[in-house]
Amino acid sequence: MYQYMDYGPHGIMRLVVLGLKKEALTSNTIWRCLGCHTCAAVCPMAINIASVMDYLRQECLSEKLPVGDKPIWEFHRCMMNSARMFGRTFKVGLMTEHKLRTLGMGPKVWMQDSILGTKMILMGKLHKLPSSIMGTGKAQVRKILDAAPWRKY
Amino acid sequence: MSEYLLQASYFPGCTMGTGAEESSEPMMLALEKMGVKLYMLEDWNCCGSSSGHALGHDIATSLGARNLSKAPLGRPIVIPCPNCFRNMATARHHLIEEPETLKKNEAEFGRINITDPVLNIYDIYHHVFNLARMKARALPEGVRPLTGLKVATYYGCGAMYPKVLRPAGPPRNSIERILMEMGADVVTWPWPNKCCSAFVSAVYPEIAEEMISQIVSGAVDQDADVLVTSCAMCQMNIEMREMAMTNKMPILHLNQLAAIFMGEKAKDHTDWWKLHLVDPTPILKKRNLWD
Repeated sequence: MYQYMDYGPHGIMRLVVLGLKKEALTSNTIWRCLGCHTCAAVCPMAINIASVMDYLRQECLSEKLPVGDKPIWEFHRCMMNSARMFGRTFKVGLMTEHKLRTLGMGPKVWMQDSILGTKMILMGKLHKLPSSIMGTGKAQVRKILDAAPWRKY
Repeated sequence: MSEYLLQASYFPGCTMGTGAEESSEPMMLALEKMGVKLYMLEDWNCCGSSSGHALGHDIATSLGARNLSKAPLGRPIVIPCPNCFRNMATARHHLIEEPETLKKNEAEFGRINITDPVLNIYDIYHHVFNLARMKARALPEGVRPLTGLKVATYYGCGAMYPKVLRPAGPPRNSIERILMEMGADVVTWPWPNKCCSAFVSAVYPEIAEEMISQIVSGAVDQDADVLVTSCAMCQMNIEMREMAMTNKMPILHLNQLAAIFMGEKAKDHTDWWKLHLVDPTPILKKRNLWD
């Protein structure tokens, strides 16, 4: 993933060390980090870089700074909305919501994966209907999610 | 057989639970033959991986805590999805280390099971094969070695666990050992730990295609027949993104090979192979694993 980031994990660590807060929080690196922990596993200083990235994302949201990579942030938001609604993620609904939220990105994105997605729905690989949790569980999950900074961004 | 080798709680997670029947069904069949009984957690919720911990530390911990509160005491919790495993194990670690967090979450969800270990699916297979090797508990009749099948094992980011989450350390060579025990030919190849691009695949398909073309061509170069992974998400991602490539390679779940090894016939389970975008049946027929 490194080649698609603007600073890369080591760059972000350097920005943090130098105290360049705004550069670090508005970079797209923190959003493109997938949390695979590869950098954390090989870090000679044993820094848990993936967790630092998590922290920086949350800081970016709670300080209401511009997000470095809009589509990925929208994806996270759709995923949490889906979890909020059903208690579990519902892939088809999630991607539909993501398409609606990124309409401004142009026709290429509107059609992206629609053929493959339809094929997978017809195959039965992606479920048409969401699976949902019952009873009080939904309210509990909703309460957990509503307490976090992403709701207010 | 009434007595089981192991009884465990089972947390499926969103990918395995809703949309990867071709992995969860063979897992159940294989484990049943191995004498392991799984009880699905009642009313489980999203584990909060990738987006959960990205947007809030407390979200991930509390979602994990709610799942752990559903697990009865005295049974280990099996989590087949590597990402769910990491997130639930992280939540469990925080609950153990921070008594205040535990207290807060227990007030919300009731007793939380932090005493029983969280296990990955290959821990279970490992255990069963170890017992068989030590002659403590033989494998049942009718196992069928996967002789001749050349597999490239793919962990994705599932191999990168910090020591606190998995006392046995990162699962280096776990899947390889299991597959060797099943008699398959394990290929050495460069990208077993390369990221499959997870959620970026949904947002930027072109990035995912580049990353996955490296993975698949790496396996093709080493003459592998199939890629084997334990992560249902990786499996789906790689299959989706290799559709644009010329050299496609079938991606199998570890559970499917385990089921075939334990004597299930591939031809009886066409519904599994139908859920693959790249059809693995020709290679299974070629390697005499079909009937």
